[in-house]
Amino acid sequence: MAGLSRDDVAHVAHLARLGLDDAELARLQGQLNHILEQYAILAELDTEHIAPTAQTIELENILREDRAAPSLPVDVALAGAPERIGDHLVVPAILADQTT
Amino acid sequence: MAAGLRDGEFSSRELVDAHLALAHRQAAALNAWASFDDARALAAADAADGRLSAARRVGAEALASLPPLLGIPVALKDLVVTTGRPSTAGSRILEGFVGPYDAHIAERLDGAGAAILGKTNMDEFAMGSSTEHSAWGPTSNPWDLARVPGGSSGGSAAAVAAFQVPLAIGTDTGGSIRQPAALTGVVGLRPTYGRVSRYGIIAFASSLDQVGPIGRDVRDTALLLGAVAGRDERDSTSAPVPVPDYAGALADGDAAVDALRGARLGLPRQYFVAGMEPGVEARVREAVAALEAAGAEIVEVDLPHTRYGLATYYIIGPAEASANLARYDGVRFGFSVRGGGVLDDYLATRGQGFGDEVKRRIMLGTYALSAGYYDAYYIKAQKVRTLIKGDFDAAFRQVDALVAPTSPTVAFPIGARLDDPVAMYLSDACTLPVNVAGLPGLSVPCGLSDGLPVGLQFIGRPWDEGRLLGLGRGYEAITADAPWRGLEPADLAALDDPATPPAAGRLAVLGR
Repeated sequence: MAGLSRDDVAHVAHLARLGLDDAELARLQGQLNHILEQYAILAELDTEHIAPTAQTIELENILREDRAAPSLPVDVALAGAPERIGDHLVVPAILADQTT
Repeated sequence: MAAGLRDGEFSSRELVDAHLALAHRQAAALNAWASFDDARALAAADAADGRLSAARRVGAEALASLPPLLGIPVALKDLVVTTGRPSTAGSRILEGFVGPYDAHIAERLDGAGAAILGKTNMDEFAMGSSTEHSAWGPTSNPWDLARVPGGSSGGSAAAVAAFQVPLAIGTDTGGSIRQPAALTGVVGLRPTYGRVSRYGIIAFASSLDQVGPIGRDVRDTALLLGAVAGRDERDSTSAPVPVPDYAGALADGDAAVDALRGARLGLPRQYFVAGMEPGVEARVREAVAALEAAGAEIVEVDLPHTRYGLATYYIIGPAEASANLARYDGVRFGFSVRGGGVLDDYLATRGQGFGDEVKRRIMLGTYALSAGYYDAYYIKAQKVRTLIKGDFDAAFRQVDALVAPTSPTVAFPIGARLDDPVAMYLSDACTLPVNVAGLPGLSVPCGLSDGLPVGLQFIGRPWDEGRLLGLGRGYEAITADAPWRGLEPADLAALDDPATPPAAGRLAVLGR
């Protein structure tokens, strides 16, 4: 498997919404490629007819009674908010590019 | 301790005061704690003393019926969310975060009358095997302050080993309870996936994470497991499986050895991996010989896909983590950088808020889940997961439990593996297949190599924690007179010496 280029690493960082500086990108490129080399061992196994396992204890249809219960008060739920106005979270404008 | 409280030898207040004083005094030297909550711990102690004296007036029966952890100090790993106390998961992105509700296990411990002293240090978001990846600095090992305590529950294990607290909660995603327990010479149990509710536990990898107890012996560990285990409808992955009386089922002395007589124990050939230290292998083989001499039947078994465990784990874990950690957006809670527009705010918040190891895993996971690689990495790993689980299923048709090393090495020096993530990941080679298969695993101390603790691991069928604890208790009984049992961590005195440099300074000394 071909290794990750510097651009590949920058692309993945963008997908992950991680702002990384040049030194971090360079270090990660080396480290990620070294780790990906370890993954290559899995190619030794023929798994064409093996079903994937996502969950080990095979629980099915865990149901509970549907009953009303108090929810968190707004003040408690928003207590950790970096920025708020009244009962609302302040979020960055997502349409800023179109409006400026 | 519980007996001392019931007999009135000392009060819970005295017990909690003494532990808090020790933990505070050694806080900088060991760095096992992320935060303390003295006021709440002392309030719990006073409430426990009230219940104890009321019961004492009624009589012996009332005293005996009190919950076993009443008035006993307990520590929580810093990813157990509690109101009124910060929960940071060792991350700058959660600096100062105080949860809006109590985790299920915190409610259970409060209900049992335990006194929660505070939160213990950990690798950021439980990603690591050394507790060096904490935004609050590394934790030291009480056996040698220049070495790591293992991780990610290294603060919990170090605090228990240093007698700062008798019991602590950890979490185990790839070995994060068992490996630090082994490296600090204490007992740690990773329960079956689904045994303990994760409601209010800050998530790392949702198909692998499980909450469990750390204690100085098997009985204490069993008590703490019993206090937190069981179905909780707020966590749909917590299983509706009955919880036995773990501690009540344990015997003492010769009777404890009965658990070993006739037990069929599998010794997995593949767990004596390349890179295992000879001293560790020697201690584990001696322990296995002792189990055999006590009447256990030792059968060599094969877990042929063990060598694929590391790659499988390091695809599934990071993939799940990259999804779980998407919630740290700087908008709803936690660290936040503002002022650059929505995308720049995300990049800056996450780029500055997360540490190196967390970024590495998010990158790995994002890559493994990204278009074009999903089948090659993520689905492939899930298929290999089926094979690894199949290995264990086959072994458990032959034997009652497996016995193996917990960690291939003793505690390594602080800084030694920070530049080589793959070497760090190998620390968990003997523990992570257990998580991949969702099984319970118990680590108990089995002696020293070069003056540092070695752990013996028992691995069981799903829901078979009781058998593992019985085996561990039996092993304690047959080694009760071993010279190493009487030894305390070598650096306990240094922890009390004001001239000892703080743990946080140890990485700086290494030029980081």
